[in-house]
Amino acid sequence: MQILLVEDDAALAAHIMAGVREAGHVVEHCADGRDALVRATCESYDAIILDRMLPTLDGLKVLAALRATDDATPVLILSALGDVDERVRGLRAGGDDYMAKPFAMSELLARLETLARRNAPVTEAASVLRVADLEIDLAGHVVTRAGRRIPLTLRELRIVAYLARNAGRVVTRTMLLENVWDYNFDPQTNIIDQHISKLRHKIALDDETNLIQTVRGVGYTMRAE
Amino acid sequence: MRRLLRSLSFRLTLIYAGLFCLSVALLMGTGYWLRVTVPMDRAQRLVKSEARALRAAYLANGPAATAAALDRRAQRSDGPKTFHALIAPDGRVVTTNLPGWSNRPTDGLTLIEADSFADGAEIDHNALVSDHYLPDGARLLIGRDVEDVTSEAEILRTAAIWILGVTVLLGFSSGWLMSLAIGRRIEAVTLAARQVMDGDLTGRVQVRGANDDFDRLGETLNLMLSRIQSLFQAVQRVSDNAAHELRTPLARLIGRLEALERMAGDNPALQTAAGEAIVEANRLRQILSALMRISRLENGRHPLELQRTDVVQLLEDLVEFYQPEAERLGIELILSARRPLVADLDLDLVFQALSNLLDNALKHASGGRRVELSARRQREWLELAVRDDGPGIDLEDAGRVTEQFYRGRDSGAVPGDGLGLSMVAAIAHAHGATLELAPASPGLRVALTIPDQRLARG
Repeated sequence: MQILLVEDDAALAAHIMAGVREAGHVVEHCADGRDALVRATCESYDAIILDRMLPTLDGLKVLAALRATDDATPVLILSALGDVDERVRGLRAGGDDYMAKPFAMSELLARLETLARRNAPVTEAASVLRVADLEIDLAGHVVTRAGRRIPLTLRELRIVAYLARNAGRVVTRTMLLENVWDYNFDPQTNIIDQHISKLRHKIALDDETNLIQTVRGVGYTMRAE
Repeated sequence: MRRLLRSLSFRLTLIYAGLFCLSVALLMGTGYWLRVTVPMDRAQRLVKSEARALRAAYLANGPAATAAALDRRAQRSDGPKTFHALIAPDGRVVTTNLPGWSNRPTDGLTLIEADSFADGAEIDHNALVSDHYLPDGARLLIGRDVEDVTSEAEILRTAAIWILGVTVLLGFSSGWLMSLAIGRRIEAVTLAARQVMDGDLTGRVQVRGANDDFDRLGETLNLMLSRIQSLFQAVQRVSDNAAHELRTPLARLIGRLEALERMAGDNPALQTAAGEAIVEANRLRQILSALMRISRLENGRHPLELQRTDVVQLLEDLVEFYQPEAERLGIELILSARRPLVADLDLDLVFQALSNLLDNALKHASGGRRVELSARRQREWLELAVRDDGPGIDLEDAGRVTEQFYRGRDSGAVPGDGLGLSMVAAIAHAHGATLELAPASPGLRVALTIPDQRLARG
């Protein structure tokens, strides 16, 4: 993937670039708002990582100017202003995702992957998702594994669907929380793990392949192996 | 009405009007005493002594001589005009200058109208008369004119009614105006205080520039507020800067640790160490963002996003979210609330608050078997409560648990950073709600009571 990183803190930028390159992406860096806008409009990127507080032009203004030119490049806003209302402001300004500093590199990479994919014309609107022998009928609210029907709650269905849409990619706990539950909040305990373990129990019939795998220290992934 | 009676300005009005009326009444009483009571007393004494003297003269000299003496007295009077009547025992009038009298004498002194005519004009007289039978059955009336005094009394009484009426009116209206003026000045102070309490530190008391007591009070309060504001801003700048400055290095630190973890390769010991360091760094990050959030909520810099909320749905989502954890711990989660229950709330914040409370209940209610989440409307309030049947907390802890980083004395083994309840308290504060921790025997009941103005009707 071709990624533009807009970040004025040199050390943090170096760290992000190292991480993103290591994940196999091409990354360009600029440290200034105006410069970022010029580059983003002239060239084509798969995703932009945008800091909020920048010299010369604020991150949200860059974003607004970019969106005004009908540029739909996925933008991940990165900010030290991590509170919920700031997050809502960022998303309203046209951001596709929002992360508060400090963050874990793995979280950033996981989000980048799903973001860039969101832009690609895939089976987003499809009503049936398939991963290995797992089939999720979104319209009918029916989940079957190897032809056997698995009774799931609505929330469990949403978790499975989110994992299946991002099959092969890592999904972090925060991403699950943001996308499956409709509240912006920080749970004190890792309740998500309990939900996953319950769900895993339900869909892992007998000794079949474990579809939902834990990625240590990062989150989960659904993989057909 | 009771509030009006209790208000200081109303009481001031009453006292002011009362004192005003009292002083006017006192003034008029003194005037009446000087102009009426004293001259009347003098006239009474005069009439009594004359009556005594003439009675003695009658007894000594007989009717004819007394009649002559009476006529003489009428012609050359000293002081006010004299009146008299001598009636023989058979009812014949011996001599008189009174136009009439009562059929039978009254004991003591009476007032008789005795108008006289001079040069065709009527002159009003009011005679103060001593009226007695003499031992031989004759009747002797002796009097003096007190028209001056009685007419003055009449005038003073009429005046008194008017003056008192006007005084009461003036007293109350000026008292009312005064209390209104004072009330308005006090209201200005109250308003400014409210504004500051609501998180707007720029609120100031309005000063009139009259340099009176209230202006001085206002100026002093404003100086105090300015001082507080500058101190507060300094603290805020420091904590904002600190938080902001901490975030970026913390991000770098986490980055370095992640790099370290990658570099560890196949060395499991190193990998574990790096992983644990990352977990600790993430904890630090969580504490930092929780602290910043609490501080924004507490000083009103986090705008509430109120939206009409199905409270029961909110609670159902919460229960659903914590259900797996509760099942793991073997605790029964109970929801008691009935639809319809609708309120205007900041959904995310209330969810966060209740989530912290549920989290606490599950963590600390060791040995408990059930946790109850309830919501009910009590006319002007919406009460959201979480109740467990664990060991509860002691009174000393109850007062301190909302302090930042305070952890109950028996919570050593339970994970947590001591910010959960501070966050709940800050969210309650932002909603104008009260947070109450009460023993539920057994266990603890934590209630969040959100006032009416934030609630949707129906």
